[in-house]
Amino acid sequence: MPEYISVEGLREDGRRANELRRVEANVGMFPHADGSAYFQQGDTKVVAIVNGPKQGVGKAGDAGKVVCDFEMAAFSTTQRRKPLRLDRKNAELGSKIASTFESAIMTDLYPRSQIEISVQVLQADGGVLAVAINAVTLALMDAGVAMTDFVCACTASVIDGTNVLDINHYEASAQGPELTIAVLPSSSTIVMAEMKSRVHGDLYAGLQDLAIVGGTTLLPLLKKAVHDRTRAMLPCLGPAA
Amino acid sequence: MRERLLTTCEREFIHNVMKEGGEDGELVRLDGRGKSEMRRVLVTLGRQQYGQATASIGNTQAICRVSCSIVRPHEDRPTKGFVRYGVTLSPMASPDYDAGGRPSAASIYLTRLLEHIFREARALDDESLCIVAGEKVWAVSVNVTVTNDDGNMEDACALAALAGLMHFRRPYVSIAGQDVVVHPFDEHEPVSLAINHRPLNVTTALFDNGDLALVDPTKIELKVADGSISVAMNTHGEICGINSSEGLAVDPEQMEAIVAATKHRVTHLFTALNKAFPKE
Repeated sequence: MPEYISVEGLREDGRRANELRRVEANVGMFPHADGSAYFQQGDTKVVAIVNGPKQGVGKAGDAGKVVCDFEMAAFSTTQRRKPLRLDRKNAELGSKIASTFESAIMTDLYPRSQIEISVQVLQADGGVLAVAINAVTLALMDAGVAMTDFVCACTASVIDGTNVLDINHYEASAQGPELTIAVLPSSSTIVMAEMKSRVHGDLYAGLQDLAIVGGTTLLPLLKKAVHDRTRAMLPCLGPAA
Repeated sequence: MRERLLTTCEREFIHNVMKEGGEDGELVRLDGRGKSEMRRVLVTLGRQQYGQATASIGNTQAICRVSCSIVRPHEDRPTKGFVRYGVTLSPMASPDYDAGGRPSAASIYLTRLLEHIFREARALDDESLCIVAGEKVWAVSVNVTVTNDDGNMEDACALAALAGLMHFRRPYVSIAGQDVVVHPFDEHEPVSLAINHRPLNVTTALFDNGDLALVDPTKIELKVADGSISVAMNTHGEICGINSSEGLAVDPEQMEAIVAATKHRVTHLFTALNKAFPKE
């Protein structure tokens, strides 16, 4: 049996049970896109690009439509995987991300338009969906899309009877439950919930609370990334500003 | 085909019915149910063949067909068999769905839902599907077709799939030297699948930013709803997966309440399932 949490209460990568992985963010590195962001949590690295709002394709509705294209790079996991023409897993994650942001973007402001999100996972080391949602939040902010709040996502799991935050791939292989929750931190409203594997119903509340705390802890980090980007853009306004 | 949109009148009517409630102030839905009341649940099993089951929840109906074949295992997992899931939404279920072509987002969502609650929660023992390690394993395919969509396809598909898996029998195999002999059903008693635990799904629709939650939504209720949340739970009270659909916004307390309430709501489905399997 591999040891996931040491006697001292430290995890395999040296974190405490309720500690996040190191976060790195970079906003607006692709000049051709309306919005772009790179977000890294531990060794999970994701790039998100936003194009739009632009003219809607197909059904024209009173509210803007959000579409998301989710892709994992062939080299993102330990085994090289040939990309499939139609990957159900990616299609599912894409539609999950799109519907998550439909509840955060003020779509009423963009009638008959569509906002296109592309997500590319460069390295998958656990919590891919959560990291992708954080990256997309930053990219949407960079594109200047009106949102009610930041969307912060984080995973939580139970390993050896301990609730742990933000699990990596090694910890996910313990085959414990993996709860991914996306929250709007100011109102602490859940906009997306996904759970894999199984856990007893009585343990759920603690797991959900931990994931929400993880999400709200990420908020200042995401905010800082947006502030840094905005500050860097200030000189572009010219001397009058 | 284009989805039929609700008129503003219909939308407001449904909303008002839910808001104001009946004469005694109790909440009444269009079909007279209470907040956490499910529609009539019925499971029927195929009489001619193993692995055939029909589940209906109100007017929503799903048919499951389980079949198997012998294939080579994956190189990395020589002792593991395969279980494949697929959900088909045809125009028979509702004019909202197209025939053929690329699978729609809804059918991908339902297929992934089955994969989440059965595969990722390890409901089936895939090692028991091994015949000769590295050479031959069973590949079980679980195909669910929705024949009528009146909302809450999630629960109907999961119920049909579980009933199909429980009802399914694979042929008995014996190994003689190098050869694998597959015995027909009349020659040897067929073998049922090794099921570790039985998960079933309960879907709750959310309205008015999560203030109102209705169990087992009909199609028309879903069109008015903000979103829905599906919680899968087994007989031991373990959560086997949580999936939320579009536009969900719910506060943590409400979410915890929904998950906690699933435990007794799911027993209703298990009662219907057990009725179909009389003596086990």
